[in-house]
Amino acid sequence: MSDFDVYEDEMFNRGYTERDIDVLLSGGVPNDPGLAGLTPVVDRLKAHIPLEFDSTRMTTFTAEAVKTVPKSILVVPSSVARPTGYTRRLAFAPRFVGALAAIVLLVGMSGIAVASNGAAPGDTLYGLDRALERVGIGVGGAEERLAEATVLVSQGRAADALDHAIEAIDDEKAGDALQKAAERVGGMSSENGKAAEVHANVAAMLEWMTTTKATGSDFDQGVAERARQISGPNAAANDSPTDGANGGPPEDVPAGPPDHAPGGPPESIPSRP
Amino acid sequence: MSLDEAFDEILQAAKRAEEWAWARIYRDLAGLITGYVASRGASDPEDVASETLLQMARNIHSFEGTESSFRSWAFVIAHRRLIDFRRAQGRTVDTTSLDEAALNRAGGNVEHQALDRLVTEEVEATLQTLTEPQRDVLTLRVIAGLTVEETADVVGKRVGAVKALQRRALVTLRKSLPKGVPK
Repeated sequence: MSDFDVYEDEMFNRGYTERDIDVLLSGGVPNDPGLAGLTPVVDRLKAHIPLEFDSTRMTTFTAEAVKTVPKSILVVPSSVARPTGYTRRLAFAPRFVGALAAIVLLVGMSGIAVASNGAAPGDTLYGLDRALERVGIGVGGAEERLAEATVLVSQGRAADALDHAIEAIDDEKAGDALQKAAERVGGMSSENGKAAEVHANVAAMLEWMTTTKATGSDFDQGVAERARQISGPNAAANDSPTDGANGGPPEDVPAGPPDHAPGGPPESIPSRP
Repeated sequence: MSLDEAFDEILQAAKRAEEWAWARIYRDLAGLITGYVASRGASDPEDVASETLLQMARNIHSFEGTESSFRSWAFVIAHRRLIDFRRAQGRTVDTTSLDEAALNRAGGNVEHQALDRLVTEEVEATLQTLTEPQRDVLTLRVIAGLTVEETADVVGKRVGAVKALQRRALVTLRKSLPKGVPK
């Protein structure tokens, strides 16, 4: 077991707490000396934020922004005088326009959704596929991520497939195991005789993830075990296959189902709270 | 500068295309968006930030929510623009240039600046060891100041995956950081 492996186990088992990680990433000094040593890295990242404020650029932007904001026909400034008959036309215009816009949008997007659904990472329509998922069009979710990962493996992109499969799980340890596997696979030479075996293991893991009836912690544990096999014999031999055998998760990581849905606000149609 | 308790008022004024509201939004978000896209290799970060905010202006009437979701929305757009930028550049690894302004902020004598430059170069080289997803998560958490949940919204991953990515990034950085880099 290398020093690095020991450090990784300590990170999960001794407990770099979520609180300490949050303190570090927000620019503070965490209690743990191991994390405290990373404050120069955080400082370097924060140095990208411009210190001086460009008032000229702001003035240019605000002038452009007020011209860009669409004039909503539902929001009429009280200072604007309305000619006779305007109010009557305005009464049904919003409903008509809104319905027409919705119909056009749905018809247009259904065609686009059919064309883009099934697009894999790297395909021209893939970005649109993900955007449509965020507004509820298209399957999305873990199932589609696994299908996309399977496509990537078939294209010989096993490391990319593993990175992609991370999106299908919510368990932190399983995610970490997948990342380690992705790093190992990504670093392998294509001439290495073991590469074919590793790729086959990746494909087998993805198939298991797609077809298994295991759920919750059983699913996450199964993923972690299979990912460790891909990471290599050392990682598989030294890591415990059972969650909790080495001391359990960090103190601030709650057990149970996630409390936050995947996906998020799209570019043009944000979600409501 | 957070919009805080005035957020609702600012949002409604922004929908009415009132200039003062967009100035407040610019002050709150432009610097953070600029810093985020600059750290991820955008060639004209200020321009990307302005374009991101203008896109929000175009779609402002469809937004309803909290300041947190407003901030997430801004970085979803900025993140998508970064992906488009990377695709156009045809590369998968960003090449962030040194921030000369950051070096000059140190002030002081030439020797101090030389030491700062050395530290910056070493830290920059360390950051390059991260994968793109790891660096996305780290920069969104550090520069944009997003929570884990907000970061998950932006990058389109689950909360557990984001936590795994940030832990893995920190482990990699700990391993890669040269000894002797001052705290």
